[in-house]
Amino acid sequence: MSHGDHIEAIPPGFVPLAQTETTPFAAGGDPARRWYGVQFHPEVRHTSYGREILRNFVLAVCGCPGTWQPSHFVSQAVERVQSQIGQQQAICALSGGVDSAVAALVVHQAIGERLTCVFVDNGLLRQGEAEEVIATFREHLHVPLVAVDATDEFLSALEGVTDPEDKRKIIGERFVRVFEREARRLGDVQFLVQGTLYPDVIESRAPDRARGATIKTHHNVGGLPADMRLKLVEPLRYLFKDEVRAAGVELGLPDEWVWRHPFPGPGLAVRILGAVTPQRLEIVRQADALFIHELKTANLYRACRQAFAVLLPVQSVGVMGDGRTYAATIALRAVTTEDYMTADWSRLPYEVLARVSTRIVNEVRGVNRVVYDISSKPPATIEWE
Amino acid sequence: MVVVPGFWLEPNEGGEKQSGDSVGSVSDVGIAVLDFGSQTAQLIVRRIRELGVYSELFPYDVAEATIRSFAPWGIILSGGPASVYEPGAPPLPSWLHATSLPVLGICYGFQRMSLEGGGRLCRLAAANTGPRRFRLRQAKTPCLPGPPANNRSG
Repeated sequence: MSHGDHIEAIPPGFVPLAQTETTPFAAGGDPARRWYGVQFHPEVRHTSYGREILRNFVLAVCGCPGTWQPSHFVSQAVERVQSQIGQQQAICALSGGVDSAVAALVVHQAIGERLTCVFVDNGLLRQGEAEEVIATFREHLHVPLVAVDATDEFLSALEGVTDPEDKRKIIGERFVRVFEREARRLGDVQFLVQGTLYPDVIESRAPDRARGATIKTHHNVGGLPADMRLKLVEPLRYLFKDEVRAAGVELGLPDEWVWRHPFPGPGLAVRILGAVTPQRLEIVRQADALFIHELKTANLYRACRQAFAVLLPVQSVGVMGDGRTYAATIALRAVTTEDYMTADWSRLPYEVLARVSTRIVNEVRGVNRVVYDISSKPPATIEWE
Repeated sequence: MVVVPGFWLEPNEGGEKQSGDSVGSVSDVGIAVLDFGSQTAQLIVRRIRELGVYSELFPYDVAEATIRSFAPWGIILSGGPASVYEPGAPPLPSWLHATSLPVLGICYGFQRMSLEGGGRLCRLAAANTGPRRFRLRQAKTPCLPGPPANNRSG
């Protein structure tokens, strides 16, 4: 229950179906018309029998067959992409994450060699990621892959920028510019493939939402410049994350790709609070690599659905050896979540946190303090920017 | 008996899926969820898909033609942050009153359905938030689960 209003008299034709101590019409319905209503949320997990209520409505009342599966989606998406692209050429923006990989595989299935994948090293990637992405895609996708090192271009565009929304917009715009340049180099390319997911689509059409505020501009959608000259192909725009994973499995994507933690489009730029510099990138990159390595060693990587390090714009006093230090703070974030819409912080074992903290302070120059983020979403978000 | 998808269509047109922006085959089309602004609106879509039924979220004021081309088997009205008495509180789309599709209203969706259907609402002094136990008033109904009678609502 989450409302200031409640129903005092149900409309003609309706009969009361359930009540609470305070609500006479917790549920009601007009069976002849097949209109039903509940004054609670059957879609949230902690509502007992919520799933049954939805199942009854969908299967028994509406008569849906209940045979849909995320894998059905692959063949439909392939057809849709074929009819959208026709005989023209497309390039796919590979980020290294599961979304763009699955999008690429769908489109590759649809148009074969007329898809060229472009991987932009924006200088904001995790340690070793660029090399790994190139190697794995060339092995598994067998599609033409162009790798572009645009580190300098991105870092100079980000110089002195501290506002998270500005960072996202700048990075989104750079991405598109680089892709356009590559597309022109490839000749007659009309389409840009992106791994935009359904929640991004819903979130970014926030103006439609009655009162839902825009939480963050997603770089895949909201940050696109209006004058972009490539047409967008978004084969995953009706899928949720776990459905993309199921489709990835269906398409033969290796397990390590399918289960890779989500990584924001703007990359480490939104995991560095404040200005993005090569030095600060190196700090957060090393800290993140140590954290992820220790999680994998402790066999906790999969259980955390997203884990990363954040470099805070906070310096604090410390003591190392005989000297006083005044250095940066790393925040560790690890969450468990089913759908990334709500998330709880992972209850990591103290021993693991201790090992990560010790290693970061000892091995990453410029860090003397490590903190662990114990906020859930909501009210916090998973990422810090 | 199989319910014909797209209840607006005449029986002889039934099952004819019009080309739309969304999915392909008729058996894969399921439930349209109308979004009245609740943060959990997309959770409804997910839960429906988990039941093996395709679902999509549409703005609350979606055009009838869009829903028609989606050809759903039923419609769910999401919750929303507004009070039905607030000026500018989102109304049900007018075409909904004429549909013969089954409809499930959740929170705001049910309250709006009640208000527009001739029921009466009142404003609670304190918001009715957090878990409550609810008791079934009627044992047999196709929509609600049977006993145990005491359930916890969110």
